[in-house]
Amino acid sequence: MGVFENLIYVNDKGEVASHIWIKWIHEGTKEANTNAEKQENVLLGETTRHCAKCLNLNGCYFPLDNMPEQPLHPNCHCYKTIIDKPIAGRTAQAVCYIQKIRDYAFVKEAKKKFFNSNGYDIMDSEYIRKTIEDVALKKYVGGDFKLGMLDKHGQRITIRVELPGRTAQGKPLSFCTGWMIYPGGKIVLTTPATELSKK
Amino acid sequence: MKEYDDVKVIVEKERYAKVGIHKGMIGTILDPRRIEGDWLVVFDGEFKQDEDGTWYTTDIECEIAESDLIVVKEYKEP
Ligand SMILES: [Zn+2]
Repeated sequence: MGVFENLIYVNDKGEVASHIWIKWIHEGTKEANTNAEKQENVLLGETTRHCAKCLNLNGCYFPLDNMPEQPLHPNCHCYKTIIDKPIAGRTAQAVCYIQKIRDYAFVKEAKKKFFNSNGYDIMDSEYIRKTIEDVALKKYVGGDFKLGMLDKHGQRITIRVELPGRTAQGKPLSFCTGWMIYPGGKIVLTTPATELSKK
Repeated sequence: MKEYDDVKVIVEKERYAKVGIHKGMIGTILDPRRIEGDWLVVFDGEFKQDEDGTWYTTDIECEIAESDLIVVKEYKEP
């Protein structure tokens, strides 16, 4: 990766994304880096006056022009701090578990048909998984994603990913993937094929 | 009940109906966490293409109470 590639990101439509990034802060509570900790936050929200959604956003990174509304609710005392733009593989990571491809995408009828008809089969699961991770990470740090649903489980984003074309036309296979944002620049794939955006 | 299990909705409730989920529909749990008794369930839709040629689905994602679900196909890691 070149030095400037990390400073300016231009999406497929030629739009320059914000290079100002922020960290969502919910003071006085720890960041939920694991699923267990996220769950603890929900329980904490139940027993205290803290909002479980805000607790789950604590420590998450967003571009300034593509973040959940702040304040999120009346009496929300969350704030944001400017951070260095996340760097793929260093201060940002994407995780796509193999099960989401091998045991879900290639099992569900419509999804299996979609991948099969575009030249991919279950033997390509690891290749698809790795490619989705790499492309999504690059787009996340480029701010090239759409904010989706925010609920007890966390903030979802939709990222358009491309796989090399394997049909006669040879055009790249472009599709929408759904991710959950975790603190510290981490995103985890929820579903390998999703809506354009889930507000 | 756990991630990747196929589950069936066994009740009709307004909060599910609002997003298009009704009694009898079958979906898949796609998050390992049960939060406040709710699982994150994804219901399969169709593939469609936007004007740029990008494929997307009409899948519905919904938090559903464990007590409103039964497992119809248990996931076993191959
Ligand atoms: Zn807040």
